[in-house]
Amino acid sequence: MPNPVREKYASPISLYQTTNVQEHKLGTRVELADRVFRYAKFMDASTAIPANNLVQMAVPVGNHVTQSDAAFSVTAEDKSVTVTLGATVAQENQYQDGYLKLQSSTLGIGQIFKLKGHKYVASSGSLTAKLYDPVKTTSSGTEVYSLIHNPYSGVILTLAAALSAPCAGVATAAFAACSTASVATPGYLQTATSTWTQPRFGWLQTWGVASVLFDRATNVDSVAGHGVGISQATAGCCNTYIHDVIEQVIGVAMEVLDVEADYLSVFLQIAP
Amino acid sequence: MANPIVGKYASPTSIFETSNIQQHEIGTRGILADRSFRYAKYMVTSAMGPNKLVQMCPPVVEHVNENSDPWVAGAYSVYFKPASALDIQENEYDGGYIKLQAGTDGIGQIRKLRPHPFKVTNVATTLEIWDPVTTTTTGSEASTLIHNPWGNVVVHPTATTAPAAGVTMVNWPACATTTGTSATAPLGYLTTAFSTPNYTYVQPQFGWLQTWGVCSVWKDASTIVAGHSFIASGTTAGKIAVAVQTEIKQRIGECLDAFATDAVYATVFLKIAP
Repeated sequence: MPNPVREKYASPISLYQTTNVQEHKLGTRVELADRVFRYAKFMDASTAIPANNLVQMAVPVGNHVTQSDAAFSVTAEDKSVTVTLGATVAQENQYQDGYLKLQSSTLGIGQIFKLKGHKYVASSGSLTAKLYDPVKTTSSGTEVYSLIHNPYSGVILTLAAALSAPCAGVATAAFAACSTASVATPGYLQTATSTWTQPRFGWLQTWGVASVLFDRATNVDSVAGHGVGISQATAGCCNTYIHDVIEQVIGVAMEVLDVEADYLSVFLQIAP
Repeated sequence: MANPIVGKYASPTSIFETSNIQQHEIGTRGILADRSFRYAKYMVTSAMGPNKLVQMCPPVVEHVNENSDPWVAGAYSVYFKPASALDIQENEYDGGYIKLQAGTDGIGQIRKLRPHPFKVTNVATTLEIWDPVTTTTTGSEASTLIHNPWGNVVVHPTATTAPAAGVTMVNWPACATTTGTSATAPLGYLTTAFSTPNYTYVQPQFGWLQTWGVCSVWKDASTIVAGHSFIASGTTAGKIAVAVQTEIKQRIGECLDAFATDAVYATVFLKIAP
């Protein structure tokens, strides 16, 4: 029962466990009768994700988005791309199954490519990745690109800060902080010049009835049938949605709750 | 055509009929090419007309945030004690959930519930769960029972008390009821209450609620505009109304046409559950 079903077969990973071995592609959708889950990768060595807390997608890297790249060029039918990073490293496979978007140019603008795996790239270095699908249109002009994480790669506990990425789901098991090593180690990914991090994989609930840590202090009591949003005051918490904002609604409250730091029953509506 | 597909096969129940015999697990998803449906249980002794907005079962106050014994890691059952004034109906929470809402360790855990018998008011009981408890709990534990989203659905009231569950495609007749002195209900009925010396039994109705795609839904007098969102009506049970900017009520879908007449049926692209 706790092992969700993918196509005809149960996943080897229960909803209530995480592993260091990747069993599915990131973002894989599985379901139990009335709930939906997505397979996610966690790479944070400092902040663990407790069970029943909100999890957000990786924050876009400032030096990897809206980057003007004079050396960039793609030709129709190319099956790999190379971009010059800004002054921030790219972790090994940080953008695996993520995307490269051509944001500004003359020809070929707007194209978006899904990326395969890639190596660690130093700050301001050149990142080369193979593509799942060949380039459609040869580009020209001044190229500006953005790298986009897979929605379920490098997820983190939602932050006690202004929103910086969409909510990805709710952790059904605790994701322990990731182990690190100072030398290359099997099963670890290079995340800095002399740091390798062991990823954790597991399920995030994205649809259906869930128990989610509730921040009452910053907004108001929950109201059954009203929207639920993301707390920007307490990490990992949801709160009652306020109508004068346009932030993401993550679901609908199933009950009235007036207690701080209790767990709210939410009908999640993040990804069906 | 009217029998939605569940897995590889057509359901034996059409979207235009209800039945006293349960054919699928509550909440089962059935699809037709461009519309989605969920299999629901109805336990109310008055009818629910076609093309009405339906709400999930409201939380029962006496079953929310009640004192609980510790949950033990590995256990397949947990303790619950309903507060005075309300029993737990037979299978009221079958396919629903129990959530550990307050405590010290293990707080936040939620587990899906198995079928259960009628539980008498204010008597401690155990409920069986599908998956074992992960973390042994400590502190002053309190638990909450949560209905399956499509279990014991009701016509959407004017004051919202739970999320929307879907839209009826057909008239759901009033559920039959009877009484007797045995705690075990007659075949096909569920025990719902006890008042010395009699138990009350209700015969459930099962059928499909539409939850996604083009749908006809009863609306109130608000003027609708194509492309605008709908919410539940605050004036008439079972109706929908045009959403207003200052409301944070659940959006149930978008309007496909434009008119202002009261009590007619709007064309809605439903977006309750895909």
